[in-house]
Amino acid sequence: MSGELKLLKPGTHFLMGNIACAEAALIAGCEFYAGYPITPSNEIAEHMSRRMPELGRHFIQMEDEIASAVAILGASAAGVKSMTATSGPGFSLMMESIGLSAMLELPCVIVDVQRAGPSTGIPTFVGQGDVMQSRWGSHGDYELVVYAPSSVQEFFDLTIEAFNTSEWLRIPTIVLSDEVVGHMYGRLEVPPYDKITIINRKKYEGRKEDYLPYNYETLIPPFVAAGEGYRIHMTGLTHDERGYPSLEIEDSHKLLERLVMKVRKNAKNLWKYESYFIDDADIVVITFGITARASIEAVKRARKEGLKIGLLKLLTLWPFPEDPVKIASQYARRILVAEINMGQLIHPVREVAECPVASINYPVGYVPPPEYILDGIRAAV
Amino acid sequence: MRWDIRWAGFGGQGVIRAGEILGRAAVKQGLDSAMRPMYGPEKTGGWSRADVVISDEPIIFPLIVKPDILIAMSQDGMNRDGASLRKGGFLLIDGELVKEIKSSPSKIYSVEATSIADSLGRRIVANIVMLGAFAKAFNIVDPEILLQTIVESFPRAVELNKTAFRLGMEKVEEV
Repeated sequence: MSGELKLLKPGTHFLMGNIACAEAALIAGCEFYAGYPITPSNEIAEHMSRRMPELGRHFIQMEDEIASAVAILGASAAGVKSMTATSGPGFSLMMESIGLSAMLELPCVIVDVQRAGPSTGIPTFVGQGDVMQSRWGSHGDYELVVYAPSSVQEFFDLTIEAFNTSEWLRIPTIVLSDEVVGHMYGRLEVPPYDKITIINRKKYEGRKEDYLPYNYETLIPPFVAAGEGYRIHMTGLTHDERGYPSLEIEDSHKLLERLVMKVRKNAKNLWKYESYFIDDADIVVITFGITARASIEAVKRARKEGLKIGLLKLLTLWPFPEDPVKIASQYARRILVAEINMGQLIHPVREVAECPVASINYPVGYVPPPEYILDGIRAAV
Repeated sequence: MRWDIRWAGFGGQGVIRAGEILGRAAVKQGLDSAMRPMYGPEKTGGWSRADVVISDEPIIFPLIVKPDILIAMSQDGMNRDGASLRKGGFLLIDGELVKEIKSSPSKIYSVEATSIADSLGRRIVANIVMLGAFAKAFNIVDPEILLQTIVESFPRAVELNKTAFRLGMEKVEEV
């Protein structure tokens, strides 16, 4: 592929998180970007507006976030990898299409660079208030995968991962970044291209007349793009395996079961997390995103004080990594959940933890300094 | 060894660009670096800050609470961030634009970066003069690597930037 020459070169770079995300999308094979400007995600769209045409790919600025999210589904139905990026207010407007993406089983990647909320909040300041929205924002039952990077490198790596997971499971995936990780410059190692795993959606290879877009015998139906000469019908209405609207109990059951089971059955393979000093920990801090960076520093300092503190940094927020949290809670006396919001990730933690769970919250807009987390740890000892 | 370096000034002075170049040079030198830009709702003329962390170990917490070094390119930047400098830290100022010190540094270095840039006919290179002064005053990043990074960042103005950097190195003095 001649375009490969124009991708970000393997080696060491010093890049802004948002730009690392955009370059990762290009490497992952994103062919279509639609978006609407919003701080603090703008650098992704700005960068893509230059880079996509350079690579002979497509960029379009839509009239709003609603249209952007619908446009990337259209591109996905035509068979290409597509993405958009936004922040809280725009993310709210995209919720309808996230449900539609899940229902139509059209892969797409949505990046949410979280800022302080609710509503307009503080556009240029950080927040982590979209944890629950990323999982439960659209109506009805569906499953999706949400990744949370805490560094420029992770923003790059998890963007590629988000494309891969989206293509593999035919679901929307979300990269839930934040203002600091998005705007921060950091060291980035780009591996040789042949060391980067790229997954493309499985295409249907059988006879044309046998094709069923949502074949009940598959968990993840093989894909056929619109315009390739097959009979395809896509609708947000509950549908049968032909894709036609249906009111039947069997169709409703089979559709819903598949939409959730393709993620639930693969949950263990989707969980990504890192543990620090966990083996003998009395207290375990669970955290993600930029808050993890402050928390790891705090835990290191706590260890120097002789406190037995461990930490779990979650890279996958949804499906929630139940087993590692559960196991940590069986050995620890207490779990502390550190996040820049009024308490969101604490809910799934509480659901699985077998020990008491408490929050370390910090005013939205600001990153807790390590000392603040350490005070929270000391208070819990 | 970890250095927390805060650049403060107003939008248009190239504070964030200087922070980016410094961080990139550090990474090029084999160190780890993180740089967080911050600015107000207005760009040109509004407040602007670049927090650069440079460390010979992988950086865990990438942000700055109490900088070791404050580089103030304007009085407004000094007013905003002067008090954040760690006691006994180092100060580097644009000696013409910063008249009132609001920190308790152990050493103050000064260079008239904006005037020097004006003398070269391009005020826009004041940040490069400041990078030269930084390289001379603090032995953190190799000046050769820093200059190379500057040259790569502005391929259409190589000589101008080389001159600005060299003048910064020459004219900086402890006050």
